Amino acid sequence: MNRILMAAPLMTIALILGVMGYALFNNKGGIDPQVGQPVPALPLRDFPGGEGDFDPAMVEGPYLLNFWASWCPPCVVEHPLLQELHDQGVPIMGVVYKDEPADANRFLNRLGDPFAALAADEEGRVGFELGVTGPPETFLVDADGIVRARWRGAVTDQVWVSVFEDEWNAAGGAPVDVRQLPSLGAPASAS
Amino acid sequence: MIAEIGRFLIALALLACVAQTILAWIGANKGGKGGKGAMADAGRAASEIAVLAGGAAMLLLILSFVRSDFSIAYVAANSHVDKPLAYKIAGAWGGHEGSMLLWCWILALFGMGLAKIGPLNSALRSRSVSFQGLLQSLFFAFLAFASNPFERVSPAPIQGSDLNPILQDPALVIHPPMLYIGYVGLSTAFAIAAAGLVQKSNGRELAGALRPWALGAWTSLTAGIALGAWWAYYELGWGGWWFWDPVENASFMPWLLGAALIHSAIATEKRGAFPGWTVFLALLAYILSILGAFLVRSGVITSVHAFALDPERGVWILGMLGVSAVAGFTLFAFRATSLGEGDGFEPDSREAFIGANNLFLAAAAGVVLVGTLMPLFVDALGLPTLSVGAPYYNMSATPLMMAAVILMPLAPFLPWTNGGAKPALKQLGAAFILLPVAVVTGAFISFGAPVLAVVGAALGAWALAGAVMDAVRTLPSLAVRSAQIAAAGRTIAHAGVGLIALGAAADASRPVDQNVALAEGESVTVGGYELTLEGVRGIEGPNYIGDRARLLINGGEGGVIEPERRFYVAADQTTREVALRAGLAGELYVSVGEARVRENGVTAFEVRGAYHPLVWMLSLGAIFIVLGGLTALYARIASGAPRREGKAQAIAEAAE
Repeated sequence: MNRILMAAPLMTIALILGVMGYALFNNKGGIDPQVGQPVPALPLRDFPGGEGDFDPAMVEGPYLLNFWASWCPPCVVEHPLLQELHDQGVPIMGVVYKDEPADANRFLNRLGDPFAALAADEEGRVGFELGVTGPPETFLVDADGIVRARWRGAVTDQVWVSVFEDEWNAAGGAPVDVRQLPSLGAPASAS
Repeated sequence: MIAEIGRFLIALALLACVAQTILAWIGANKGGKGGKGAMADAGRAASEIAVLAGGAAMLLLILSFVRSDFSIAYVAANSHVDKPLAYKIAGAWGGHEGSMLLWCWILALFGMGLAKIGPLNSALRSRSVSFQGLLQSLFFAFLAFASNPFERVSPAPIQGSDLNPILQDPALVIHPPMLYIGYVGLSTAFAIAAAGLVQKSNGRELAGALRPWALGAWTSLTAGIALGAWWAYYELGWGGWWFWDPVENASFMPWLLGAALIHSAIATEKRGAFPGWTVFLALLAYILSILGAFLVRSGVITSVHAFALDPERGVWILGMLGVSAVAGFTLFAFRATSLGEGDGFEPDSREAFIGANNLFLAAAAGVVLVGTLMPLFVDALGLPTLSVGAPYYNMSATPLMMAAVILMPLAPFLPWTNGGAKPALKQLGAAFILLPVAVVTGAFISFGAPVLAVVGAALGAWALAGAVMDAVRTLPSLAVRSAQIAAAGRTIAHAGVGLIALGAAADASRPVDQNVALAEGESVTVGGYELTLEGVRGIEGPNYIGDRARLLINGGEGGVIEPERRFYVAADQTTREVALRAGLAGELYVSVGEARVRENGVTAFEVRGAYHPLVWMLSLGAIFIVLGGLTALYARIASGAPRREGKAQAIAEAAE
């Protein structure tokens, strides 16, 4: 009897090790703190030269909120995909992050303008509210103003499928034909 | 070049640890005079090499931080050119790899300590140095193969990123080293216990040999946890000091077991009571320390202050945990019976009360363990996700700890072995008269508060009164100076427990935090103070941008209070800088959060306000416990008790 009692700690620790090993190999990872939260009040400035200035309260239905800058190489990478999403009817609100308006306009003139509306964030104050590290960074906001998904780095076709597609459809967004999206390969950045 | 030398030093330390394990083991085996030969000496020398190599590596890492050498990935990830020097240095242990190096070095230091001033029985000493060498080897291997702090990065970032900004805090500069001395120090108790099982040592000798090490480690752990709680209180901005977060639990479980161990070891050493239990605690306390490291560093549990997720590290730590636990508990399963049944005692003896208290503390550690691991169990069984929060712990762990506090003041008055409660109760008479007063006072200060708070306040008063009675009644009656110092340590530490119980009860009695959205000019009432938001303006710091709110205080001495919310750009992290207004009766606590636009277009800021009565008692209590632990440790060293026993042992060995 005593022997069994003395072996009990060994048995217990073996069980605990097993469970921890299971947890280790089936780890689902953390959840982004912004996801599920309403978009905070954003101190947006009008973007000089922009066609429509954007106000989150004016948007109906889900939309993408995209932080970008002309000085940001990955923003060039994701640009064709944003253009295609725009062509398929996805409203994308662009926040020009810490950039000169003239440079940003040159960027849009050269590559095309996928944005339904634009706002300026010269000092990064808007990014502060959403915890933006640096462009590009994209948020999916639903009709109730709740952040549904978020991606740091360039949005590629694979990122669209793995991060945004289900949430976009669940939020009732316009259907997106994934096959039409330009193939940009693997995500350039991990969130 | 520094990085390469650092890497080499870590490899050298690893080799020294392996050599220490093998040489000290052979040294301990040498015939009847185990632990005295050249092999044992070589084992000690190896332990010194490990300390020197590990220490030099630590210095090189600090140097790399001071020089902002961002070609080293770990420096780049945890420092920034604009960071103040003190935080650059602290960055050396602010992230995973560097803190692991510190952990390894402290392990090696304790290995050298065991070799120099460890158990007096030389065979037991050499064997425990060998076990310590095994624990060191595991961690240095982890460092060398899976967590190299000197890994290069290419291309090197020009400015670096940043130490996590919430860690840029004076308390956090010393919190990790204190905590690690505690965690890692418990490894010595493990090593001595495991060595004793191999040697078939006498339970009393073993308890005497491991107690000072456990006491020192536990005292340091107390300081580390207290600093962490203090930091959480004013830096995290959640309005509290203890959250039953998995990471906190990870440090609290070894603390509870360590508290049990330093008391059970007294009973075993002095009266031969429950030797098996003491050895079991010595093994388990360190195992739970590694288990804590696993929870914090593998990413299996989501926690606010967890390190970055990395499954590979998790596999390593799980492996180290497995090797240590299986080795320790297999030895225990086969050899624990050789420790003997233990000497008997009466139910009203001091051993009985220490034993009962031990069971309460261990049970508390058990329910904390269950609560911490429950989400993992539930997930493994495929049940819906579950989170275990404060209500669970307040229903399970808190009452167990309260039971321990009820018994605590009684034990010092009880005689050993044969017992006799009557004289003890007579001596405690005054404290018993205090008890109803305490209950009334507790009910008064926690008017309308939860039962737990009222009971806690009464218990705090009871423990405090008991400690004072202990100091007044028992201290003068002791003839030996070292015994007096030891008893003084006990009374100081027990008074600290009383203060913490009072502080915690006062905190539990306070009204819940006010968490409201305030627009400019709007007010909220917190603990008798009316706070009016005057305005919020943008601020710009050296490495952050943020908002500073200005609130007018109406009530008390009035004035303004200015909490901040900061965004550290390089580190990509938002923090809340809590504003505090301290007083003897309590502390006003205000933090500011995000802005939200209301439907009418007015911008309102989330403001969290709370009033923490008597919160200083918690800090004072922690200081008392640490001082008490240090005093007891000093008494132990000053008395030279183990030395004499060791001599007797040596004579006995020679006589055989």
